[in-house]
Amino acid sequence: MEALLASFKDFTLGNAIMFLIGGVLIYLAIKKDYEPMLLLPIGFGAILANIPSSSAIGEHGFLTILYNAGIATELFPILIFIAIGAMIDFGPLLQQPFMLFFGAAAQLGIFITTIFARALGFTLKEAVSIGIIGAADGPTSIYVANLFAGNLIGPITVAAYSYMSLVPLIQPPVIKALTTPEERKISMDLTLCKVSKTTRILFPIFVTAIAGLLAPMSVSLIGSLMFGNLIRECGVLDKLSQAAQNELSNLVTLLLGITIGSTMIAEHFLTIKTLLILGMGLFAFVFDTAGGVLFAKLLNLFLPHKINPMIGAAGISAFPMSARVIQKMAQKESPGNFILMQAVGANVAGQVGSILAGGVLIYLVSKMTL
Amino acid sequence: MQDTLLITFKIMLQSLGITFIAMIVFYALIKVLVTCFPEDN
Repeated sequence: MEALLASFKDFTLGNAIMFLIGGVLIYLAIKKDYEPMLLLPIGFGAILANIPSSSAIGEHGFLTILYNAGIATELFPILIFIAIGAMIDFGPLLQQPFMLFFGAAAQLGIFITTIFARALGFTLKEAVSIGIIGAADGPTSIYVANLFAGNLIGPITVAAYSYMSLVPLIQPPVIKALTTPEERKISMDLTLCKVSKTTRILFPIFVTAIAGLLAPMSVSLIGSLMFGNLIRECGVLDKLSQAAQNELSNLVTLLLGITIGSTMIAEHFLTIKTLLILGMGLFAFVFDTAGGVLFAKLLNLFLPHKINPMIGAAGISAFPMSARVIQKMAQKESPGNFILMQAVGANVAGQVGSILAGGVLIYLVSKMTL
Repeated sequence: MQDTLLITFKIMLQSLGITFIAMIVFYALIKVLVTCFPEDN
């Protein structure tokens, strides 16, 4: 009888709070449809990890084995990148290459948040891992956090995916605060150039080579994304492309989520650092949005044909949610104003920009701390 | 602390700069590709 009650005796208030947090994540996934593919496994993983003497974690626990095999080695995020690459259609970006610059500007949150985190006393590697939440890209956040601050991977992942799902709530007030109704009403001419299949095939190959030469540490991130895209665009690997987009993506997402959840053990998760990370994650998304909008406004000082500054906000990586938010706001200001294609172009650029910024940061910080 | 903040600031400025430079290179790359390979045979 005593053996049966042993686990109850070891059950702490911290474990109970983690059960509650796990439950909230599962609730948000099911009831609110907030990134359910990630938040549900993370929530359940957190519950599994907080059962005293849980056989799911520890030396022979399956979640620890998965962690060592898939997260510690960075394998899961890399596989996810291949899947994402196979899902991305770079067409809107290739047709409007100018949108690339918004994909860079809307990474501002990463850099501002890193400086802010550093000022709050986090180490450089921890600060970069927190700042990268602003990439608005879950796998990049996991990749960088695991490399630089493995102890913070749980809260960073939860923050990244939670705020990605909250983009429709986070971006509109920031955009409204930085733009006038007249600016939001600006309509943009749509001039799309034709993109050949050869261009679509050569683009991922050249981008990998260039990004690799500029920042060698970004090769794993960019290379896997572009490999997935090459499979999609080559036209002779449809089965592999479909497998990457469906089976690979679903399976790795499932394992990634539950494994990340297993790192959310009460004594590591319930700290002031977690609260700070959650706060700074929001800060990063706000400054990403502001960076994109302000950059577009800066360009408008020089361009003869004005850009709707809301397009800049779509330069974050949360695809396609951000583009949809921008189109919805544009139509609300001026019914009939259709800027979805431009927003999608900026949004795709954001996916390239976030991975690139992550790779560059890894390169510079690794060089610095060698 | 001020020193470390300054170093962090420099790294972030460098990162932002490299990200923009890479985007300029990608922009040029797309322009070249679209010009050189306008249509499929």
